[in-house]
Amino acid sequence: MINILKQNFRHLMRSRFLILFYLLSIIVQFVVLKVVKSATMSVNGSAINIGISGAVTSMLVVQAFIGSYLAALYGIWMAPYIHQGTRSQLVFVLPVSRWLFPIGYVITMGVMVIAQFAAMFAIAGFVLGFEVFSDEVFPWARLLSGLGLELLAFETLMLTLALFSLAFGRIQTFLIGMFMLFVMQAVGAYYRSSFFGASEEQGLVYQLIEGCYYLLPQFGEPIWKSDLVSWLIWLPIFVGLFRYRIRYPEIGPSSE
Amino acid sequence: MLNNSIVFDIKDLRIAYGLIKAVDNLSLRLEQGQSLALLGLNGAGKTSTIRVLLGMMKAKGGETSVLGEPAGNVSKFAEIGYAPEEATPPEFLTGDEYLDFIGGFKIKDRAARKKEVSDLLSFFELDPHKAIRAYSKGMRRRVVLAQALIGNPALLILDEPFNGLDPILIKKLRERLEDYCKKGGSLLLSSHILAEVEKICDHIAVIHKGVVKRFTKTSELVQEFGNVEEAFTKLVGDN
Repeated sequence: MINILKQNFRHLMRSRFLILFYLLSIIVQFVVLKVVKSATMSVNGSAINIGISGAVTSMLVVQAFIGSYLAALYGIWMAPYIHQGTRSQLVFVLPVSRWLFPIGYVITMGVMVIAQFAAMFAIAGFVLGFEVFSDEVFPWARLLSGLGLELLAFETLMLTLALFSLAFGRIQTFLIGMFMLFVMQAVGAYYRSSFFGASEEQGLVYQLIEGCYYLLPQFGEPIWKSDLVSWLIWLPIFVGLFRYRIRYPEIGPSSE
Repeated sequence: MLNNSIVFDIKDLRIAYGLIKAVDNLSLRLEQGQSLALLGLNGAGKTSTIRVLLGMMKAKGGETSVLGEPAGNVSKFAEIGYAPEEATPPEFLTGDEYLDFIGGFKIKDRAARKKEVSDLLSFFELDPHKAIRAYSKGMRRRVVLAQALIGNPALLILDEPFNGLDPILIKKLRERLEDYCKKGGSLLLSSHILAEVEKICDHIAVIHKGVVKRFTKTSELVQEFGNVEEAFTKLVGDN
């Protein structure tokens, strides 16, 4: 396992795109927290600061976006790399259980996400002041449960995309992924607007949209109990599916 | 070393791609210290046979055992070295890192592994610190051959090992393979370079349209036909 992880991290360190992504994500987090800190909202005619709770919500939302892109980047391009094309034959004959590969990708992704979380805390401390973490009103439980849920979601998303990348190819997965993201966002927006009474319809279309909306847990929302269980089920399923997909190497016709 | 002298045993192997038969009732056996060459025209079924032997694809029928276990047993891969006909190692690694990665699964002692990796890089004249993406096609081929040799495997399976190598390296590799077999290693080789095959292998299987036309000692084939090239032409060329 150590040998596999060592190679995974070498792959990460040599990906300039990933390093660039990390730098950009730090800038995004910094800017968002700066904006949130200085933002005010009007309640009953008086201006009040958004406060710690708002900052924590914004941190979770920003992490949801950054983590999703990280999962897409690692899942589509990097995790399936050694199992694709003719190089898959070289990996296939390694004397190691094939379960270790998806588990290794989950661990590598986990380390990347936790590094993102650590950067988030450092930036939050820098922008809001480190004393904010020892404040009695700081919602530790909500933040940590939200981050835990996001971590599980990113892991599952990464493995899902890696599996699609192995089955259909990288570009196809990228396009399918983008299309699905668009559909889910559109469905989510429509459903939410309906939810708040903007256009209450109970027809077939509405039921389909509602079905799509609840198809997968919403990892942007820190709802601990119900979604934790569903992500805990999805993650091992995708680890198993990835293992099943690499039971044979990708071998094209021989020129023998 | 092996308790049983049989390294692999293939009985009545049948391979098909859809409705097209690739291999039909093929039987081969290799014992410890022997070297066997699979000869055949393009599409004869040589690479398919090797793939089934390694568990890379399912056979339609027959029995295949390698080192006393059914084909594809992961634990046995520690004793098998395999160089496919076409493969590119991970391009983000250097030659040294890649061989160390493969060696990490086969040689536990770090110092011994480092020494073997260094020897192989030197033998194949590879720059250890250059990324594989910067290697030429011939150098990539050499890395693939080098990774197969790591850990002194009991069974070495080389698919078209001489493709892309210069004449000097072909000679060096031939000598190394001869030495490997003399020390008890078993070799399965698929190649179109019949002169090299004649020098290296003590057994030859001529496969034509998925059927074994002849499986015998190289010396017997040479005695009957004069040389391997003539034997191959006679056995396959007229059909």
